[in-house]
Amino acid sequence: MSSAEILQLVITGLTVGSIYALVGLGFNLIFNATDVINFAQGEFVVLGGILTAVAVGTTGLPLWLAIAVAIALVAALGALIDFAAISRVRRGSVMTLAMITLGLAVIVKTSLLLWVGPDPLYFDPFTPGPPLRIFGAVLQLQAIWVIGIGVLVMVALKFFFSHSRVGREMLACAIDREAAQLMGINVGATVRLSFILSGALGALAGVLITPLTNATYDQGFTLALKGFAACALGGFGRASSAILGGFALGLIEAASVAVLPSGLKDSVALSVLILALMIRPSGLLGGREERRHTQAM
Amino acid sequence: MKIEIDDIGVRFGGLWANRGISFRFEGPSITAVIGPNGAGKSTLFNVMTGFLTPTTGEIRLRGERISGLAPEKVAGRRVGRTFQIPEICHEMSVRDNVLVGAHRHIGGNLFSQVLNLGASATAEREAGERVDAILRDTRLYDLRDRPAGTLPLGRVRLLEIARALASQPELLLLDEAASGLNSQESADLAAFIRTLPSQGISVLLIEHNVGFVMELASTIAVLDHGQLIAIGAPDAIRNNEAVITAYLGKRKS
Amino acid sequence: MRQIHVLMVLILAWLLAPLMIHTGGTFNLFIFAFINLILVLGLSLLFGYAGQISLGQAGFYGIGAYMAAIFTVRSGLPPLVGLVAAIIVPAALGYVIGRPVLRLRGYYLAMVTAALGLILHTVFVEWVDMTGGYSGITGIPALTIGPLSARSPVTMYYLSGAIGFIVMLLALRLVDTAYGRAMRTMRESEMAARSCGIPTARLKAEVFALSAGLSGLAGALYAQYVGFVSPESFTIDTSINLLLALAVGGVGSLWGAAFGAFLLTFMPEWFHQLQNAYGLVLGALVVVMLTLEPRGFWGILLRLRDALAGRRAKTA
Repeated sequence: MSSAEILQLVITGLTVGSIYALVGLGFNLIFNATDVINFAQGEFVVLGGILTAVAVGTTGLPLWLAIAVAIALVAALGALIDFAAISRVRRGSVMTLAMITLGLAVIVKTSLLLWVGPDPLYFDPFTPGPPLRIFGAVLQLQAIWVIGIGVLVMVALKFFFSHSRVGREMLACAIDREAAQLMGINVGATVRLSFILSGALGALAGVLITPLTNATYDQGFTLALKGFAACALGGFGRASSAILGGFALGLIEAASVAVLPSGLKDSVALSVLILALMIRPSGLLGGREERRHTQAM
Repeated sequence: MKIEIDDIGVRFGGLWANRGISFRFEGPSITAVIGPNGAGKSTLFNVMTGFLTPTTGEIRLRGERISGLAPEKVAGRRVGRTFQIPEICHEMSVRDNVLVGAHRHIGGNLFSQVLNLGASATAEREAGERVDAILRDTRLYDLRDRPAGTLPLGRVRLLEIARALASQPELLLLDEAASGLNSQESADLAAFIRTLPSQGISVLLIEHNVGFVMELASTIAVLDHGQLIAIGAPDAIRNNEAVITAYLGKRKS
Repeated sequence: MRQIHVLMVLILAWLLAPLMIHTGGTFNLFIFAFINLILVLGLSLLFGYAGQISLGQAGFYGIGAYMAAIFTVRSGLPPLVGLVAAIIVPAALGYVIGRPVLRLRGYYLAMVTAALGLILHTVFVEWVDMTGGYSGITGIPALTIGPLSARSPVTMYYLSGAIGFIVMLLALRLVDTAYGRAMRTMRESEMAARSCGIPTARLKAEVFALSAGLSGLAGALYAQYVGFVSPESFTIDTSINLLLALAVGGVGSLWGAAFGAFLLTFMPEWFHQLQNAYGLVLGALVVVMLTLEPRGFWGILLRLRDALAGRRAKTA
């Protein structure tokens, strides 16, 4: 393979990898706060893309406004999910909550199908113009946005967790919820916030990628699996690991397209997921498994 | 029944939870392992029952190594155990929970059991009779059809013991069985444990309630910070300087 | 013992129902209900009783259907061979996959099984030589005994119903055996099960194989009745719907599973004006039901029973 092809591969890999990292981060946020895997995480992404496309297409809103509205709406949806369902389940197990999120994913997906139909939706890239040419590889302007904003968001989150009071409280809940509660941290509010942030992150990912790949109502679950794969590669509970995992997954997927028929692309990512979990269930970089009661040793 | 604990060491990262622990005892008898919280008692239990592999050393039962075997294999060597935090099946009845203990005696496979073929049916019935006897001995018989999750803690601990007994062990390991019991329940439990050696069952108790084991055990081993600091008859242990220091801290002279 | 009586009443109703059914469409529904029953019962044994979640049942369902198709259409063997292969191949695959994969718990297992199901779906689509790709395999010869053909609604109603009731009976029996007790203990505490000598790794793989085999059986029935197979019947949505149906009916109960299976079959019919929207109803049902009663409809029945028993105790 020529160096131009390799560079192209890297660009593609980092672009989708950025999306997978954002989805993985969303998973992590909710998992850290509640020990629940949010099966609707992928739907947040799809909603972000489709809502923006609809806002731009039918109401003629300027792009930046449409994006803001879409992200805000999905964040609000996250809050609603916590308010209406998650926080109300008293006698359920973590699995029950996860299945509720699965039910929600089905609701969102069916609603989208009924509302916008099965065809892909689209809106223009943030900045118009032809793609750049770097050393023989093609770099779409939108891809710069995806990687750029993605990295910016990840850095901002890191800062948020280490330097803001709210962020540190979220981390405390992740480490030990009971202890956090005893220290006066409002766990309920933290959970609510994690859902809101998760929704916003997911929607942002959708908004970023739609100009490149279009948004279709049924992309959600596969995206969720890939975000999960990002976390699995990196290790649950650690944000930085999900980011690394996301980019790694993107690169692996991009590389596979060079060698395998395109119809197998998704299977590659899924196989990575399976292998990663088989080799090291707590994530290849080491992470935290779901909290279970363990025998005192 | 002879058990040899031979230079057992267990290391987690940089920390030795057990280090250089060696002792042995024979049965039928009642032996206790005591020590302050965090002394490494449960770690030792987990090594003995296959839930942990030791970093160093070996445990031999009747001369054969059992350390490093999977828990279900250790159970097959006639070792039964209870857990510090009881692990029962809440939605099954008390009787069914105890029947699980007899699982390896029932044998057969999926098909022979579902179709209730010959040997399986007989084995099931015999196990049932044995379990009923155990339920009577532990005074759980009247509760046998209740869901196990509705029992109070004292009964739950007895239920775990009954389940372990259903497997017909030679060695029974009780992990903090008296923890959370009131004085009447503790006394009842001690009385019950006392009857076991006469049935050929050796008992190894972990307790951090020293009073409970003083009357009960013939030999007491004391752990502190992962190491064996004393072993002997209750009287000797009661007056042992190292033991007192471990529990109460150094005396100001 | 009460359960046997209920079952007998249901069997009687099933035997007599065709006297009152006049449209082929209704037979159709019942046939798919029985097929779904077998699928959800398999999932119930795996998840509700052995505690292993699977979001990949559609994969085994599909393998069963394709086995039934390939062994007959491609190889010209009699339909019965296809039926046997449809059970054994998924079961064997389930065992082999199950041994390593079921070391995982909870979400990891859910995601891995979902991934497996998706990969299998890709195989159904991409391995065109074997599976016919998107077009699938058509012209599956029906199992015939004399004048009776599996393609006929009435015959299939009785065949699928008979198999469905047999599976239900066997499942009810299974949970009461030592094997069933071992499964149920393993679900709540793997440590307790192992300390009693239960080989949990093997047991998990066996139950996984069992549920895979049942899914394959359902697939064979599907292939026999419909006459053709294509990938779009065996998607991740299929797997998700099965799990959600089980959740609504009641995860920890075989009767709950049966209820969920029938609900899953009849709901699209009741809401057929809404077309695709029935997914909304199922999703909403799951969210509402699980928020109020995690044990599903079965849990609601149990609550009713306890309430009535309580009232009776008060007046006694």
